Amino acid sequence: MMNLQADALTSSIEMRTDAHGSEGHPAASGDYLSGQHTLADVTETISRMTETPAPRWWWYGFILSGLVTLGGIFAAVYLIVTGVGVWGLNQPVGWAFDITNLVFWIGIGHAGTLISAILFLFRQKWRTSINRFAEAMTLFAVICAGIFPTIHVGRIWMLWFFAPLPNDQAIWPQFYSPLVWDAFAIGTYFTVSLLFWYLGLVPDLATLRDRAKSRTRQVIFGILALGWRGSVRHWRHYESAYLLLAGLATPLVVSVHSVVSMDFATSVLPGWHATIFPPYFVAGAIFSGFAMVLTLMIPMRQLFKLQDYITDRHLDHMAKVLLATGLMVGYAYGVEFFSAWYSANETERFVFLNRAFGPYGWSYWIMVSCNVLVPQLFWVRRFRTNAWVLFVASILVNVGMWFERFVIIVTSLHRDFLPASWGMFVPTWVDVLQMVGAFGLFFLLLLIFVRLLPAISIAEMKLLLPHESMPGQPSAAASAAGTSTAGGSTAGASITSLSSRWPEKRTLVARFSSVASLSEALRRLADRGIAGVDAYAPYPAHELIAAMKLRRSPLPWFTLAGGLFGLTLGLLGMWYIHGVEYPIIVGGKQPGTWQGFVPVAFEMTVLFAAFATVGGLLWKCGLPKLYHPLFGVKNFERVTDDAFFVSVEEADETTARLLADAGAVELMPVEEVA
Amino acid sequence: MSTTTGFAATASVDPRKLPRLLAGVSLGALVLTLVGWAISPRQFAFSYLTAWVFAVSLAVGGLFWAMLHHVTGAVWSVVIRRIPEQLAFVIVPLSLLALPLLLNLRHTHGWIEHPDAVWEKKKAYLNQPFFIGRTIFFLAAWVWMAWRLRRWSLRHDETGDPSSLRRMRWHSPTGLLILGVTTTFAAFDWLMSLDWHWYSTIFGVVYWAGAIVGSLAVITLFALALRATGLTAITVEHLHDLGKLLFGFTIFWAYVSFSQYFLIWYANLSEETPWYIQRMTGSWRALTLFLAVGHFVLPFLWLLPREAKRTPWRLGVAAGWLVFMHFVDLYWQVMPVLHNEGFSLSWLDLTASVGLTAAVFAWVAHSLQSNRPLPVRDPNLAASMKHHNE
Repeated sequence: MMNLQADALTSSIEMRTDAHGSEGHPAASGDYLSGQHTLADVTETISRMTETPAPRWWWYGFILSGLVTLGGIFAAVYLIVTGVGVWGLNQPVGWAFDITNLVFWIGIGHAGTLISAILFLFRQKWRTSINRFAEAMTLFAVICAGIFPTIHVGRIWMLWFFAPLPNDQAIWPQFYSPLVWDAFAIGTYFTVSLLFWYLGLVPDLATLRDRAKSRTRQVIFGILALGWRGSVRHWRHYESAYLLLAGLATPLVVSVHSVVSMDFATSVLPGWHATIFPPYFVAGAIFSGFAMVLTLMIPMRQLFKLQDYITDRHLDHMAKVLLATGLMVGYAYGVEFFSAWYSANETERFVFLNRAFGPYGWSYWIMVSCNVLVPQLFWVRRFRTNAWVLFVASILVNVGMWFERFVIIVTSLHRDFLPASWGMFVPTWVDVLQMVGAFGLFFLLLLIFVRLLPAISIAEMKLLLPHESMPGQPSAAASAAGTSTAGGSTAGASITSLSSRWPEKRTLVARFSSVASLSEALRRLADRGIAGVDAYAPYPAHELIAAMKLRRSPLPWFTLAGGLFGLTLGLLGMWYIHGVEYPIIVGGKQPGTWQGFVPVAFEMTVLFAAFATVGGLLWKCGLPKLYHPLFGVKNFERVTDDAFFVSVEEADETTARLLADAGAVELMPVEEVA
Repeated sequence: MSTTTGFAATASVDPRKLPRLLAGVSLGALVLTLVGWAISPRQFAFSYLTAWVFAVSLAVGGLFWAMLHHVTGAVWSVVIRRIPEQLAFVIVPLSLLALPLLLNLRHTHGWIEHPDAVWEKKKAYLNQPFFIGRTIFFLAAWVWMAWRLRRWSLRHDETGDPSSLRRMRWHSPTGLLILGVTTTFAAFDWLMSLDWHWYSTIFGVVYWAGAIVGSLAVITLFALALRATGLTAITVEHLHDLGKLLFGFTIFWAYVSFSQYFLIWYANLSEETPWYIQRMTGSWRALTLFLAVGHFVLPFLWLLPREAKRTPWRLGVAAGWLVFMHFVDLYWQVMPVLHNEGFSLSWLDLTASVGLTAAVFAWVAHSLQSNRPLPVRDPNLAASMKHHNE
């Protein structure tokens, strides 16, 4: 009964706006999005990668990397069953491929957060089309990294000793050990990266839910999307949470590789103990991570035909980042070498000469050529935008960065202080198979990822579309609503004819086809002081937040509280364990000295701040809420694609007229009120 | 409205007279410092070294920010760009003022008068002629870069010739590279080799970090002053960005400084720890704590709220404080070498630092008044003026 009347109203308005050709207006090309795109085809292009049957190349890749992964698993099982002795480790080279691979993969894992968080804070819009992929890469790289120390401990079933629990002899983890810091840093990094990645995915998961053709997809994505409905009130908290997590992830990513570098730098070993290690490792991590992003993005943009989304300008910027970080790494090599000489310490000098000219000298020169010389190509613009040059260079950089870790670890160990204890390291087949196997696992996880989830952020790409040419022609809508008497009177007439039959006040939903017309409607609603208004959009349009005159999100307070809680918990916990319950003297330091607590206290601060931020976001948005009456509204599934909605509770006829005048495409009452 | 009142009060002095006033202060303080040279040459040498290295770090930091603007192709900072350009150019008078330092090396750098076995192994690098030659080379490189950058920038105001902008963009990446290497070795020479047994590979980065924070604080102060006099298009949005950078680089300073301390503390090697032991015992301990709290904890907490970065007086307090703390940082690095028995402030510390700092401020204030405070023909100027956070 009601629907019939609403339809009458709807159709009259639709006729008017459709004359302007509201949907499907091509957008002019943006800087980081070339070609002509609309909201709808951004959704389509990116979602399609997960919806169509897998292309043949995908199956080849899947089978190949699956087989390599199986090889790695075989090597790992063989090692666990037999013992760490099947690796090439010996005295004096007690760390070699295992820790090289750990540091290598953790380094790869740094690009994701760099692109997502740091470039976000610096307002580098070009990150948008690569951040999702790079974040996924981070997670998978950290998984690959985790394999090596896990196996390296030898008795893998004793791994829980890292956790802050008293073990069976009532001994706690040793909080002055860099290896325990590692466990905290990498654990926190993985958790926060996962939260950050998932948070970014939520609106896109809602898109996949709304596009789902099968019930299974709908249910799975429905649950994962937490009932996201693009509410502008939610977007406001969401954006705040995203910014806060970016703010937390930035020092976190720096801390992770700093802590990894401290596995070496806190020692007294020449070649390992250098104060420049923390920033030097961070620069190297970003360098190798960016190289890996390039290695993967270049073929991907070719295979999925994403040249409009990952443009030559992206390549150009990434090449510049490679050049800059390569120079930083080169700086560190130089300063280390100079300092070794300047130290006037014989052993220090020997270690560095041995690095460059000793038995492993070849690996040192591979490192220098790949990491310092190769990126020099990118002073030339032509090389920065040439996909082939970049692809080859990015692989060489990864080779160089793997060798950097090998050089640092093996050359510093193999010449022990006494010549009688000198030795060499030769990898065994188990070493090699595990290293290769980790690559297999990494590619396998990435291949699965690109098939299951949107590899480019759909919602964020929409922000890159130039606003003035958004579909819906705001100028036309505005003129229809305001100055053009003809358009206004048509809509007005249909509402008048409806008014005698307008029921008691109820929730009214109106669809708009552009941000501009919707924000105009919101402004008018706000001016009239009409309450119970919410708007819905496929991406976080700031005009809408401004038009609704919403207050700033209170989420920063959650972050602060969570951070303080984590800091207190960390410091009190370690002080109790180390200073009171089981005081133990390590490295000549007094039990309970504060300095050694700094790394873990920092990680705890970030971890709990991130938990509080995400928890606060869900709480303030009232999510998860898998069903909402709005989902029953006609066309509402397009809110995650290209449509904009407004809902007004207890709307009367005047409100309906106001919305129609502002340029609503459809007006619909909702049967149930939320 | 209320945002400008805080500075309007301080600007009640005619801003056109400010450079002359500062120059007068500087001259007076420097004359007193020269008197100190005659009375107590050793104290003078150390006080002057601290003050000069501080002033140079501001100029070098200015050069860093000016070139970083071009390297990143930033738009928001176009309205601010002129300040670091003028700040960098202070290196010209400061290079001439290096003379008292170079004449007193035997007082400050102990390896000249007390050579020992350790020095023997590094004398190929640590010897007076090479040291002086390097200092001249570093200063010449910085003068050359600052002069070029400023000339292209000012010429662009007149001609609007896009080739000037292209040149600035083209030369800035290599400029940053040269700057990074030269400041590292300058820091090794002027500061690290005061104690020639001690070494730390991160020392160059620590010096940059301090110079970046200190110069950014000076840039922020000038941005606020220009805003108060109404000569510029700097808005609250630009202040917000300056505040964010100040906040971020304060953390960066803390990160690299703590890394150096932490790794030396942990490894506990006899070559390295004496440097920190000296600074963490006796009355120096108090200064170390003051440095940690004043250069990190307080500014971190102060700048954390969004409003602190958007309220001119709150940002101004932070910037002024950080300029001071950057001086304290360098003082803390230099002075324990002279007063190894404990913290002892000399009147020369005051006159030398006030003399050189006032000279820097006078020079920049004068340059900003005698040239346009905005790059008027920069194609991104309009976009920069409209810059909005979020």
